Amino acid sequence: MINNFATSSSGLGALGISWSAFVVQLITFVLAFLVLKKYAIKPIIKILDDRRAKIEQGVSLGDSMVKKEQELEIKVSQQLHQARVKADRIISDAEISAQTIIKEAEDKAVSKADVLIKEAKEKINFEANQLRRQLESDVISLISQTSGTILKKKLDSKEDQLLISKTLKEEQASYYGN
Amino acid sequence: MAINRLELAGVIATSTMKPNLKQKHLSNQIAQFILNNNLVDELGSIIRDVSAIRFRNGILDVKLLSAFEVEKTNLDEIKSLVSSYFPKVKKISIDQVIDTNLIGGIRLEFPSQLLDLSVRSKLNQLVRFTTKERINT
Repeated sequence: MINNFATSSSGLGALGISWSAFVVQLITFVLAFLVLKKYAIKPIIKILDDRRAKIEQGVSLGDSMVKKEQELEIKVSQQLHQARVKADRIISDAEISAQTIIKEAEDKAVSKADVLIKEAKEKINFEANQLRRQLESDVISLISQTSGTILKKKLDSKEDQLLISKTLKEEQASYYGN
Repeated sequence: MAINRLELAGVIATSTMKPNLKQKHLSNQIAQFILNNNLVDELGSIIRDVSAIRFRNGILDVKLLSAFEVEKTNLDEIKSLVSSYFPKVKKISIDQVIDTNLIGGIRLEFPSQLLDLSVRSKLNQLVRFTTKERINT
């Protein structure tokens, strides 16, 4: 049959192709293909697959890293926010507490000053009253002394007799009145 | 023999109350006794005791202090006033002393009492009352 094909002047033979050569080449090709497939293509494909897998692993690792980084950033920003809020609260509390302390200190200082002023006023009043009394007492004593001196100069024996008489009458009236 | 102050005052008082009193002689005797017995410091007390004994026996010794000599009319008035104060007294003996510090009026010192009607006393009263009133207000 092959010969028929080969010798036939029609079909492939007309194209100049030898069926036998073609078959041999085909077999050679198949064999070469099988050998290549087993010892070259398969390991290469395996190597390529492994590399792809590694690359995919790396890419996915990178993706996960990016994701993790984003999550971490979010976490960090949240924590930063919380820390800021906390810090703000602490500062606000501290300000309030400081204001309270200052207010209390001011109130204490004011009340202490009031007490001191009151005490000083009382002391001044007391001393002023004492001085006033002393002055009044001195003035009265002076008046008494002056009156005594004037009376001593003005009163003579005759007037004294009249005074004695009058005083005795008053004393008697007072005695009998009682 | 030692004699105490009250006994001495009793003897003196009895002697002064005798009707036939020789004042000068008695004074000399008393003075001599006081000097001999070292009783000069107690003279004031002795006089007070004598006055008290005499007062119990109806004789009142009055020391009358005044700035000027008191006239007889006023002396009589004083005696009258003293009699009204001490109705049981039979005799009033007034010893007049001039004290210009009184300014005017009189001051009567009895054995155990005092009646001050002098101008000085009134002035002192004025000062006392005025000062007291000021302190109370």
